[in-house]
Amino acid sequence: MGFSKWFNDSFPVDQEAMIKLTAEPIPNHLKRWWWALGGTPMYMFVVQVITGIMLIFYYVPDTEKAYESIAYITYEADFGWLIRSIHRWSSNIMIASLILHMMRVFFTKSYKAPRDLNWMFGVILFLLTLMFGFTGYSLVYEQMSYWAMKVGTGIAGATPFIGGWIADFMRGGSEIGQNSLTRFYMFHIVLLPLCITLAVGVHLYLIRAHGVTELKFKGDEKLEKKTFPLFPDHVMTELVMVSIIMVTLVVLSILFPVQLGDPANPNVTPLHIKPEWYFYAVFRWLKVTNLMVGVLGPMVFLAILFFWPFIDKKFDKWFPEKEVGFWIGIIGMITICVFTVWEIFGH
Amino acid sequence: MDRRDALKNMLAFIPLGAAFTGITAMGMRFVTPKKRDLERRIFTLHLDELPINSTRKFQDLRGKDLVLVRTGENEIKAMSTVCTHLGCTVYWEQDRQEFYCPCHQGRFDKNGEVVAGPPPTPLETYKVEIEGNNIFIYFQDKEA
Amino acid sequence: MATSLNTKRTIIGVLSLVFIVVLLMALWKEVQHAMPDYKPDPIVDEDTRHCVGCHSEKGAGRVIVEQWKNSKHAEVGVGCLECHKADKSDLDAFEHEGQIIATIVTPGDCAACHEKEAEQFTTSHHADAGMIMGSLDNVLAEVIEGHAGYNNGSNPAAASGCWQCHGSRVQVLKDENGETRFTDNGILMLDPKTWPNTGMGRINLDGSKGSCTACHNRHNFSIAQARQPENCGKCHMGPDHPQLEIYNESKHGINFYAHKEDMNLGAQPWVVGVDYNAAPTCATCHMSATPDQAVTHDVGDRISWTLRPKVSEKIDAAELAKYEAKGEPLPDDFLTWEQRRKNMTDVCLQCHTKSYVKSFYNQYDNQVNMYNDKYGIPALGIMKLLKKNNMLTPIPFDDQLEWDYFYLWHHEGRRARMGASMMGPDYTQWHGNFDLAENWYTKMVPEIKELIEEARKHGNVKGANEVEAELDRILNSEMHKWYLGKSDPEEVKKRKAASKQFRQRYSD
Repeated sequence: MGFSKWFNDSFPVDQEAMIKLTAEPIPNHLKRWWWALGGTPMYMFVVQVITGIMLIFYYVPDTEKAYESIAYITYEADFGWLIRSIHRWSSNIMIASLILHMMRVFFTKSYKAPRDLNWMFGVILFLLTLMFGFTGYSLVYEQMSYWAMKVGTGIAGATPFIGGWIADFMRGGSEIGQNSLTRFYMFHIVLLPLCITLAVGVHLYLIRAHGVTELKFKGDEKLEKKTFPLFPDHVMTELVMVSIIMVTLVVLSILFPVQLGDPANPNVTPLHIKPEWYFYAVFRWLKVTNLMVGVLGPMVFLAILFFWPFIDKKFDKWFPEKEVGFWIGIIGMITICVFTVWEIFGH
Repeated sequence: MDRRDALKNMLAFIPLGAAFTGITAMGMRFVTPKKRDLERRIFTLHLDELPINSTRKFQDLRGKDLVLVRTGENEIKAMSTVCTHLGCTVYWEQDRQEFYCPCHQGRFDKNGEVVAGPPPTPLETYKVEIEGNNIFIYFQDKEA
Repeated sequence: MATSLNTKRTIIGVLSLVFIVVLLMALWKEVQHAMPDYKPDPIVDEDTRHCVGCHSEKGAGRVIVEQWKNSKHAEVGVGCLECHKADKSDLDAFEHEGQIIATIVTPGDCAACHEKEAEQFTTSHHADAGMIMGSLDNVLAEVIEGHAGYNNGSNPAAASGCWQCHGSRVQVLKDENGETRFTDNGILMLDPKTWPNTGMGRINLDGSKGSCTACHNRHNFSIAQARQPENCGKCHMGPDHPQLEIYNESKHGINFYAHKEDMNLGAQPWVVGVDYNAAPTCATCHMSATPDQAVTHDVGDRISWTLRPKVSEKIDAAELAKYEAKGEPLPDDFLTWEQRRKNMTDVCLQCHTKSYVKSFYNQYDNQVNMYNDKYGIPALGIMKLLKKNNMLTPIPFDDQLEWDYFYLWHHEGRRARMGASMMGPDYTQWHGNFDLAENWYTKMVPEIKELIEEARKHGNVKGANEVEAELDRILNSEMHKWYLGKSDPEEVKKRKAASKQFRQRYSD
């Protein structure tokens, strides 16, 4: 019995089905680079998983040892600074490219039925990614980490009705302590990865099931085919993206390696406390409003975002041809930008 | 695919493969535990605290148990208490002047030499230095 | 705007090369250890880690731990308990976090690893610095200057003054019932009359003498710091023994400060002429290694004269006299002054020639002998005579003459001798011999004459005569007769001629 035969008998694979599954032709507009913005966060996630697993080799989720283990990674382990910096930069780029992707989907109205459910899964993916950033940052257990945990769980705790339970659940108690760190670690390396894998799976399935929205761009009408092959064309596009991303990550890591702030001190809140940049807008909003409005505001925003396909449909019905959705999108973006910039330069 | 095409493919993808191999190598280096080669001289006891033919248990800087045996006026041996068979901790039997391993009944004499049982080699020793009334041992630090 | 396959392939190729270049840069950075300074925690045993765990967070301990982390001790695994561990029987031992410790670390503790140094130090004069208790200086501090009426008998003149250099006798703080007192968190309290104190001759509660930390400052224990002249200068300075000032004036000091970076102060070994040759420091001459001598912590091993007393003698004279009196033979390791001078000469010879050194010692011996002959011996003699004849009150330091005499031998005489010993000519002359002459001729001699008159007036004729005769004898001697106008006329003529020549030359 030849080896091939043995393998094909033991591990049967329907060749035709595999080809059909993976080699689906890609609509022409995906040749445009804007459309690579969906795959970029996914590739970044892969980078995060790989670098994250490597960091787990040395990280200790104990309040007394976490900071020191990260110092070991950053300053002592061979290439530790590179792995950690890639992990940090990749998270920033992942969120940035995710936001750009959402903007692309929003402004090309790709969320319209029957893709409305997929949009909602997309928003869920967005929230999961933000939580990845939040939990990951806390694991360093430097001053910013600790106080981000304190403030973050405090905000969660201000949710009406279930806030108290949510905050206790996140913290593993009524105070930030060892339980909190253990839970955040578990969220970051087990729960969130599981959830996001499932959500990405659903998101990708729905994309394939619906087929990608066909859009017509100038010049495309001349093309004979409405699609182009996945392999080698789209694969090459992806490889270009991968190369750009890898170079960017390593260059950023060399030029701006991630450092360590002061270790967490529960008794001293740093004078200049700031969350990560993607939370700046919410942070500023909280500063200028009272707690109730501060907490409800972002929730309302998220609710609008989540149910946007349906809200947009209503606007289209009430104000046809007025493109209300477009303008709301513009206003929303400008608002977030304003608040973000305000937080950058304000005090 | 003609030869020019194949060449161009190689020019494009071999560097890509090399780059990824490079970064993988860096990653492998990262997860490989660091080794350190440091020798430290540490003070253990005063000579007059260790009568002849007696032992004292001690711990090196990593918390590993070792035993000091005074075999003569100025002869002191410092030995690890880890049995060289499969790693159990030996006991000192004062009456028989032997180290006894309970796991497979291995036995070592007061110099750490194997006298009975399956251990293949003598007990690991530390270099000892006596300076005046002070007993020092040399501790080899191999871990990071 | 669709990009062709070829273009994409080219882009991938180019980017891959860029990727490789960037990875090489990352490799370079890794090799360069371009990351900011971070000292990994030293490897110490569990007990020290327990101490560090708390003391690196709270209070002053943070700095202590940081200093220790940078020290050689941390590097070789010497942590907190290796020094601070105490025996239950020690008077200052107390229990803390499951260990028996003592706050003060004494030469007895350091001797556990530094036995040779501790032994040499304990037999040295440094360790005896606390024995000034019976001296006149003590009377000065405790009675005349100060007052033991503060804080349950503390005498600030001693506690903040003398004892800070010489060392106190450390005491545990006790309450009215004689029980040891502790702070709220269980730390044993030491009597503030006696601690803090890092005096050289501190008398410690574990019975040992002295303090290694007087020179080897905690918790860095930097050898470079210990070798610096400023280190010795904490105590060896001031009007009564300005060794630091003399050194700073001397060529040795000038060279040191000019070439400090070349001094290799942190090196071990640190052999003069081999590891450094820019200049000597105090340590170089008095303690440190030469190619033929090991380091010694007995600072007397290279000293030939003792410049402390009213009349200088060779450093072994007192010991020799003791052995002679008992009729005992000298021990094998007895160092005569000749041997000590030979030891010191060995240091000098690393930079100077034999004839240079010999001639220097000639000059130095002459100065010491001249002080002895002109001021030391005569003044001492006459003071003894005054006391014997009850012409001074039995109360010390209540007569002006007693103060002036104190200045003569304790301050001015020492400055003259020490200035010569370490080549600080300004101290030898203007702070030394000049002050000596001024004191003797304008203060002491007139005051002695007054006392003679007083005694005569009050009927102590015998005393007055005896002292007057002695004073006459002194003033008529070769060195003092100028005062009576009895200078040799030939000599006076020669001086006048030389003076005229000088004025002609410099037209003053």
